[in-house]
Amino acid sequence: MKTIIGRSSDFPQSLETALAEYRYKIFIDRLGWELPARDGMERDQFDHAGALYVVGQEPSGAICGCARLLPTTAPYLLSEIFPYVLNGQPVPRSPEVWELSRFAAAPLAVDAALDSADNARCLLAAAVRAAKEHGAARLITVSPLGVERLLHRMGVHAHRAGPPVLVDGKPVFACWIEIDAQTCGALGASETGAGKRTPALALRAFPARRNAGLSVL
Amino acid sequence: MSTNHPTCLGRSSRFPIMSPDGYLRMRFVDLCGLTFVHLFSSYDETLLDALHTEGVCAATAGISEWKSETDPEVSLGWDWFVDSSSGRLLPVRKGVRSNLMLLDAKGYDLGPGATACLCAAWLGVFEWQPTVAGAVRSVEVPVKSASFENTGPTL
Repeated sequence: MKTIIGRSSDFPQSLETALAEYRYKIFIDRLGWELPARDGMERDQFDHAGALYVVGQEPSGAICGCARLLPTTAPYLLSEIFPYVLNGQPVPRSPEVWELSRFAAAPLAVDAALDSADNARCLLAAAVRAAKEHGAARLITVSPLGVERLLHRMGVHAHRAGPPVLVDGKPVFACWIEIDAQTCGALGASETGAGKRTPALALRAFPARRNAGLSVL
Repeated sequence: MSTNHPTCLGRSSRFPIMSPDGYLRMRFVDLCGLTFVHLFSSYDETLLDALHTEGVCAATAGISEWKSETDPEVSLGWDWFVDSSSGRLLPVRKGVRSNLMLLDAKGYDLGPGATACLCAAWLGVFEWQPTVAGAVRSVEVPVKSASFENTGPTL
Protein backbone atom coordinates (compact mmCIF):
# COMPACT_ATOMS: atom_id res chain seq x y z
CA MET A 1 0.00 0.00 0.00
CA LYS A 2 1.17 3.49 -0.85
CA THR A 3 0.03 6.38 1.33
CA ILE A 4 -0.58 9.93 0.18
CA ILE A 5 -0.89 12.84 2.59
CA GLY A 6 -2.30 16.26 1.93
CA ARG A 7 -5.22 18.62 2.19
CA SER A 8 -8.13 18.40 -0.24
CA SER A 9 -6.77 21.44 -2.08
CA ASP A 10 -3.60 19.46 -2.73
CA PHE A 11 -5.43 16.55 -4.32
CA PRO A 12 -6.57 16.19 -7.91
CA GLN A 13 -10.35 16.39 -8.05
CA SER A 14 -10.46 12.74 -9.08
CA LEU A 15 -8.68 11.68 -5.89
CA GLU A 16 -10.86 13.83 -3.66
CA THR A 17 -13.96 12.34 -5.28
CA ALA A 18 -12.60 8.80 -5.02
CA LEU A 19 -11.87 9.37 -1.34
CA ALA A 20 -15.43 10.55 -0.68
CA GLU A 21 -16.79 7.55 -2.58
CA TYR A 22 -14.51 5.18 -0.65
CA ARG A 23 -15.70 6.63 2.64
CA TYR A 24 -19.30 6.16 1.55
CA LYS A 25 -18.75 2.53 0.65
CA ILE A 26 -16.90 1.75 3.87
CA PHE A 27 -18.60 3.79 6.56
CA ILE A 28 -22.14 3.91 5.21
CA ASP A 29 -22.55 0.84 2.99
CA ARG A 30 -20.49 -1.69 4.93
CA LEU A 31 -20.58 -0.38 8.48
CA GLY A 32 -24.07 1.09 8.31
CA TRP A 33 -23.14 4.35 9.99
CA GLU A 34 -25.59 7.21 9.74
CA LEU A 35 -23.47 9.90 8.13
CA PRO A 36 -24.21 12.76 5.76
CA ALA A 37 -23.95 11.62 2.16
CA ARG A 38 -24.90 12.71 -1.32
CA ASP A 39 -24.51 11.05 -4.70
CA GLY A 40 -22.64 8.10 -3.23
CA MET A 41 -20.07 10.27 -1.46
CA GLU A 42 -19.52 10.82 2.27
CA ARG A 43 -18.38 14.19 3.55
CA ASP A 44 -19.25 16.07 6.70
CA GLN A 45 -18.80 19.56 8.14
CA PHE A 46 -15.28 18.73 9.26
CA ASP A 47 -14.06 18.10 5.71
CA HIS A 48 -12.78 21.64 5.40
CA ALA A 49 -9.60 23.42 4.39
CA GLY A 50 -7.92 22.67 7.70
CA ALA A 51 -8.34 18.91 7.45
CA LEU A 52 -5.37 16.76 6.59
CA TYR A 53 -5.96 13.45 4.82
CA VAL A 54 -4.03 10.22 4.59
CA VAL A 55 -5.06 8.08 1.65
CA GLY A 56 -3.92 4.50 1.14
CA GLN A 57 -3.75 3.19 -2.40
CA GLU A 58 -3.28 -0.26 -3.86
CA PRO A 59 -0.74 -0.65 -6.66
CA SER A 60 -3.66 -0.30 -9.08
CA GLY A 61 -4.45 3.13 -7.67
CA ALA A 62 -7.65 1.99 -5.97
CA ILE A 63 -8.13 3.48 -2.53
CA CYS A 64 -7.75 0.91 0.24
CA GLY A 65 -7.53 3.10 3.30
CA CYS A 66 -8.14 6.57 4.60
CA ALA A 67 -7.71 8.77 7.64
CA ARG A 68 -8.52 12.35 8.49
CA LEU A 69 -6.55 14.55 10.88
CA LEU A 70 -8.16 17.63 12.38
CA PRO A 71 -6.50 20.24 14.61
CA THR A 72 -8.22 20.56 17.98
CA THR A 73 -7.72 24.31 17.91
CA ALA A 74 -10.86 24.47 15.74
CA PRO A 75 -14.19 22.58 16.04
CA TYR A 76 -13.75 18.87 15.47
CA LEU A 77 -15.79 15.69 15.63
CA LEU A 78 -15.26 14.88 19.29
CA SER A 79 -15.61 18.47 20.48
CA GLU A 80 -18.85 19.08 18.64
CA ILE A 81 -20.53 15.67 18.49
CA PHE A 82 -19.05 13.40 21.18
CA PRO A 83 -17.73 15.50 24.09
CA TYR A 84 -19.53 13.19 26.54
CA VAL A 85 -17.15 10.32 25.86
CA LEU A 86 -14.37 12.20 27.65
CA ASN A 87 -15.48 11.12 31.12
CA GLY A 88 -15.85 14.68 32.36
CA GLN A 89 -12.50 15.85 31.08
CA PRO A 90 -12.33 19.15 29.20
CA VAL A 91 -12.37 18.88 25.43
CA PRO A 92 -8.77 19.10 24.18
CA ARG A 93 -7.90 22.36 22.49
CA SER A 94 -4.21 22.43 21.79
CA PRO A 95 -1.89 22.69 18.81
CA GLU A 96 -0.22 19.55 20.19
CA VAL A 97 -3.42 17.50 20.00
CA TRP A 98 -4.94 16.41 16.69
CA GLU A 99 -8.01 14.29 16.14
CA LEU A 100 -7.80 11.14 14.08
CA SER A 101 -11.12 10.35 12.40
CA ARG A 102 -12.56 8.47 9.42
CA PHE A 103 -9.78 5.90 9.79
CA ALA A 104 -10.27 2.66 7.89
CA ALA A 105 -7.83 0.34 6.15
CA ALA A 106 -9.74 -2.09 3.96
CA PRO A 107 -9.80 -2.68 0.21
CA LEU A 108 -13.14 -2.40 -1.56
CA ALA A 109 -12.50 -5.48 -3.66
CA VAL A 110 -13.21 -8.64 -1.67
CA ASP A 111 -10.46 -10.52 -3.49
CA ALA A 112 -7.80 -7.89 -2.94
CA ALA A 113 -4.52 -9.49 -1.95
CA LEU A 114 -3.76 -7.11 0.89
CA ASP A 115 -2.98 -7.81 4.51
CA SER A 116 -5.56 -5.71 6.32
CA ALA A 117 -3.68 -5.60 9.60
CA ASP A 118 -0.47 -4.62 7.85
CA ASN A 119 -2.33 -1.94 5.95
CA ALA A 120 -3.80 -0.56 9.14
CA ARG A 121 -0.33 -0.31 10.66
CA CYS A 122 1.02 1.41 7.56
CA LEU A 123 -1.85 3.85 7.43
CA LEU A 124 -1.60 4.69 11.10
CA ALA A 125 2.14 5.17 10.79
CA ALA A 126 1.58 7.67 8.01
CA ALA A 127 -1.06 9.47 10.05
CA VAL A 128 1.25 9.67 13.05
CA ARG A 129 4.08 11.04 10.94
CA ALA A 130 1.82 13.60 9.35
CA ALA A 131 0.42 14.69 12.69
CA LYS A 132 3.91 15.01 14.16
CA GLU A 133 5.01 17.17 11.27
CA HIS A 134 2.18 19.52 12.18
CA GLY A 135 3.15 19.79 15.80
CA ALA A 136 1.10 17.00 17.33
CA ALA A 137 2.34 15.20 20.43
CA ARG A 138 -0.83 13.10 20.78
CA LEU A 139 -3.92 12.07 18.89
CA ILE A 140 -7.47 11.74 20.16
CA THR A 141 -10.00 9.57 18.42
CA VAL A 142 -13.55 8.32 18.96
CA SER A 143 -13.68 4.67 18.02
CA PRO A 144 -15.51 1.37 18.36
CA LEU A 145 -14.02 -0.81 21.09
CA GLY A 146 -12.25 -3.11 18.66
CA VAL A 147 -9.84 -0.33 17.76
CA GLU A 148 -8.37 -0.38 21.26
CA ARG A 149 -7.46 -4.05 20.91
CA LEU A 150 -6.01 -3.36 17.47
CA LEU A 151 -3.83 -0.54 18.76
CA HIS A 152 -2.56 -2.59 21.68
CA ARG A 153 -1.73 -5.45 19.32
CA MET A 154 0.32 -3.04 17.29
CA GLY A 155 2.21 -1.99 20.40
CA VAL A 156 0.97 1.59 20.15
CA HIS A 157 0.82 3.64 23.35
CA ALA A 158 -2.93 4.08 23.42
CA HIS A 159 -5.28 4.49 26.37
CA ARG A 160 -8.94 5.19 26.82
CA ALA A 161 -10.20 8.48 28.21
CA GLY A 162 -13.10 6.85 30.03
CA PRO A 163 -15.80 4.18 29.93
CA PRO A 164 -17.33 3.39 26.55
CA VAL A 165 -20.74 4.84 25.76
CA LEU A 166 -23.42 3.56 23.43
CA VAL A 167 -23.83 5.40 20.14
CA ASP A 168 -26.57 4.01 17.92
CA GLY A 169 -26.51 0.93 20.10
CA LYS A 170 -22.80 0.28 19.66
CA PRO A 171 -20.11 1.00 22.28
CA VAL A 172 -17.62 3.70 21.37
CA PHE A 173 -14.92 5.37 23.42
CA ALA A 174 -12.43 8.21 23.29
CA CYS A 175 -8.90 6.97 22.81
CA TRP A 176 -5.64 8.78 23.30
CA ILE A 177 -2.72 7.82 21.09
CA GLU A 178 0.55 9.14 22.45
CA ILE A 179 3.03 10.07 19.73
CA ASP A 180 6.03 8.92 21.73
CA ALA A 181 8.93 6.54 21.37
CA GLN A 182 6.73 3.52 22.04
CA THR A 183 4.22 4.44 19.36
CA CYS A 184 6.76 5.55 16.80
CA GLY A 185 8.82 2.43 17.41
CA ALA A 186 5.80 0.15 17.12
CA LEU A 187 4.71 1.75 13.86
CA GLY A 188 8.11 2.36 12.38
CA ALA A 189 7.21 6.06 12.24
CA SER A 190 10.62 7.70 12.53
CA GLU A 191 11.08 10.41 15.14
CA THR A 192 12.37 13.31 13.05
CA GLY A 193 12.14 15.91 15.78
CA ALA A 194 8.97 16.36 17.70
CA GLY A 195 6.88 19.34 16.77
CA LYS A 196 8.62 20.32 13.57
CA ARG A 197 6.27 21.58 10.90
CA THR A 198 6.77 20.95 7.23
CA PRO A 199 6.34 24.23 5.38
CA ALA A 200 3.75 24.28 2.62
CA LEU A 201 2.68 20.69 2.89
CA ALA A 202 2.24 19.34 -0.59
CA LEU A 203 1.14 16.00 -1.95
CA ARG A 204 3.67 13.49 -0.69
CA ALA A 205 3.77 9.76 -0.95
CA PHE A 206 5.03 7.34 1.68
CA PRO A 207 5.77 3.82 0.50
CA ALA A 208 4.29 1.03 2.58
CA ARG A 209 6.64 -0.60 5.04
CA ARG A 210 6.89 -4.34 5.34
CA ASN A 211 6.08 -5.50 8.83
CA ALA A 212 6.61 -8.69 10.76
CA GLY A 213 3.55 -10.74 11.61
CA LEU A 214 1.34 -9.32 14.28
CA SER A 215 0.68 -11.11 17.52
CA VAL A 216 -2.99 -11.43 18.17
CA LEU A 217 -2.99 -11.60 21.93
CA MET B 1 2.19 13.66 34.38
CA SER B 2 5.75 12.53 33.70
CA THR B 3 7.20 9.34 35.13
CA ASN B 4 9.97 11.53 36.51
CA HIS B 5 7.61 13.46 38.72
CA PRO B 6 5.95 11.39 41.40
CA THR B 7 2.30 11.94 42.09
CA CYS B 8 1.97 13.45 45.54
CA LEU B 9 -0.57 11.05 46.97
CA GLY B 10 0.75 11.09 50.47
CA ARG B 11 -1.09 8.39 52.30
CA SER B 12 -3.13 6.07 50.15
CA SER B 13 -5.95 7.91 48.37
CA ARG B 14 -9.32 6.23 47.90
CA PHE B 15 -10.10 8.20 44.79
CA PRO B 16 -8.33 8.17 41.41
CA ILE B 17 -6.57 11.36 40.40
CA MET B 18 -7.29 12.65 36.89
CA SER B 19 -4.10 13.77 35.19
CA PRO B 20 -3.77 16.17 32.24
CA ASP B 21 -2.76 13.27 29.99
CA GLY B 22 -6.06 11.51 30.58
CA TYR B 23 -4.73 8.76 32.82
CA LEU B 24 -6.30 8.16 36.21
CA ARG B 25 -3.45 7.62 38.63
CA MET B 26 -3.64 5.53 41.76
CA ARG B 27 -1.87 2.75 43.58
CA PHE B 28 -2.71 -0.90 43.11
CA VAL B 29 -3.93 -1.12 46.71
CA ASP B 30 -6.47 1.59 45.91
CA LEU B 31 -7.66 -0.24 42.81
CA CYS B 32 -8.33 -3.28 44.99
CA GLY B 33 -10.53 -1.17 47.22
CA LEU B 34 -12.81 0.13 44.48
CA THR B 35 -16.32 -1.06 43.71
CA PHE B 36 -16.99 -1.74 40.05
CA VAL B 37 -20.28 -1.68 38.17
CA HIS B 38 -20.87 -3.91 35.16
CA LEU B 39 -21.67 -1.95 32.00
CA PHE B 40 -22.09 -4.69 29.43
CA SER B 41 -20.65 -7.93 28.14
CA SER B 42 -21.02 -9.49 24.74
CA TYR B 43 -19.75 -12.22 22.49
CA ASP B 44 -17.04 -11.42 19.98
CA GLU B 45 -16.69 -13.85 17.10
CA THR B 46 -13.65 -12.04 15.72
CA LEU B 47 -11.88 -12.49 19.05
CA LEU B 48 -12.90 -16.17 19.04
CA ASP B 49 -11.39 -16.62 15.59
CA ALA B 50 -8.20 -14.95 16.75
CA LEU B 51 -7.96 -17.20 19.81
CA HIS B 52 -8.40 -20.31 17.66
CA THR B 53 -5.64 -19.05 15.38
CA GLU B 54 -3.43 -18.82 18.44
CA GLY B 55 -4.27 -22.38 19.41
CA VAL B 56 -6.49 -21.47 22.34
CA CYS B 57 -9.27 -24.02 22.87
CA ALA B 58 -12.09 -21.56 23.36
CA ALA B 59 -15.75 -22.48 23.05
CA THR B 60 -16.86 -18.85 23.02
CA ALA B 61 -15.20 -15.48 23.60
CA GLY B 62 -16.19 -11.90 24.17
CA ILE B 63 -15.63 -8.62 25.92
CA SER B 64 -16.73 -7.17 29.22
CA GLU B 65 -16.81 -3.55 30.33
CA TRP B 66 -16.96 -2.19 33.88
CA LYS B 67 -16.57 1.17 35.58
CA SER B 68 -15.88 2.25 39.14
CA GLU B 69 -18.28 4.07 41.42
CA THR B 70 -15.96 7.05 41.71
CA ASP B 71 -15.68 10.47 40.15
CA PRO B 72 -13.84 10.39 37.84
CA GLU B 73 -14.70 6.84 36.79
CA VAL B 74 -12.11 4.14 36.36
CA SER B 75 -12.88 2.27 33.16
CA LEU B 76 -11.82 -1.37 32.87
CA GLY B 77 -12.50 -3.68 29.97
CA TRP B 78 -11.16 -7.08 29.13
CA ASP B 79 -11.42 -9.95 26.70
CA TRP B 80 -12.62 -13.28 28.01
CA PHE B 81 -13.19 -16.78 26.72
CA VAL B 82 -14.84 -20.00 27.81
CA ASP B 83 -12.31 -22.81 27.96
CA SER B 84 -13.56 -25.72 25.86
CA SER B 85 -12.39 -28.46 28.20
CA SER B 86 -13.24 -27.03 31.62
CA GLY B 87 -16.08 -24.71 30.70
CA ARG B 88 -14.49 -22.03 32.87
CA LEU B 89 -14.75 -18.36 32.03
CA LEU B 90 -11.19 -17.02 31.81
CA PRO B 91 -9.59 -13.67 30.97
CA VAL B 92 -7.58 -13.50 27.75
CA ARG B 93 -3.90 -12.90 28.34
CA LYS B 94 -2.92 -9.30 27.63
CA GLY B 95 -6.57 -8.49 27.05
CA VAL B 96 -7.13 -5.93 29.81
CA ARG B 97 -7.64 -2.29 28.85
CA SER B 98 -8.22 0.72 31.10
CA ASN B 99 -7.75 4.43 31.67
CA LEU B 100 -5.49 3.67 34.63
CA MET B 101 -1.85 4.38 35.31
CA LEU B 102 -0.82 2.60 38.46
CA LEU B 103 1.90 4.04 40.66
CA ASP B 104 4.69 2.53 42.67
CA ALA B 105 5.20 3.16 46.38
CA LYS B 106 7.05 6.37 45.65
CA GLY B 107 4.35 7.68 43.33
CA TYR B 108 6.11 7.08 40.03
CA ASP B 109 4.29 5.67 37.02
CA LEU B 110 4.60 1.93 36.64
CA GLY B 111 3.96 2.32 32.92
CA PRO B 112 1.25 0.95 30.63
CA GLY B 113 2.62 -2.59 30.51
CA ALA B 114 3.03 -3.07 34.26
CA THR B 115 -0.33 -1.41 34.86
CA ALA B 116 -2.02 -3.86 32.50
CA CYS B 117 -0.29 -6.78 34.21
CA LEU B 118 -1.46 -5.66 37.64
CA CYS B 119 -4.99 -5.11 36.36
CA ALA B 120 -4.90 -8.66 35.01
CA ALA B 121 -3.76 -9.85 38.43
CA TRP B 122 -6.63 -7.95 40.01
CA LEU B 123 -8.99 -9.79 37.67
CA GLY B 124 -7.80 -13.01 39.24
CA VAL B 125 -9.41 -12.09 42.54
CA PHE B 126 -12.37 -10.10 41.25
CA GLU B 127 -15.57 -12.15 40.97
CA TRP B 128 -16.67 -11.09 37.49
CA GLN B 129 -17.51 -14.43 35.99
CA PRO B 130 -21.09 -14.84 37.28
CA THR B 131 -22.05 -11.39 36.08
CA VAL B 132 -20.56 -11.91 32.63
CA ALA B 133 -22.04 -15.39 32.29
CA GLY B 134 -25.46 -14.01 33.17
CA ALA B 135 -25.12 -11.06 30.81
CA VAL B 136 -24.23 -13.12 27.74
CA ARG B 137 -26.75 -15.86 28.51
CA SER B 138 -29.46 -13.59 27.15
CA VAL B 139 -27.58 -13.20 23.86
CA GLU B 140 -28.91 -16.01 21.70
CA VAL B 141 -26.50 -15.95 18.82
CA PRO B 142 -22.88 -14.82 18.99
CA VAL B 143 -22.38 -12.05 16.47
CA LYS B 144 -19.34 -10.77 14.68
CA SER B 145 -17.79 -7.73 16.25
CA ALA B 146 -17.71 -4.57 14.19
CA SER B 147 -16.41 -5.24 10.73
CA PHE B 148 -12.80 -4.45 10.02
CA GLU B 149 -11.59 -5.62 13.41
CA ASN B 150 -8.07 -5.48 12.10
CA THR B 151 -8.45 -2.27 10.16
CA GLY B 152 -10.00 0.29 12.48
CA PRO B 153 -12.22 2.07 11.96
CA THR B 154 -12.58 5.29 13.90
CA LEU B 155 -15.59 7.55 13.70
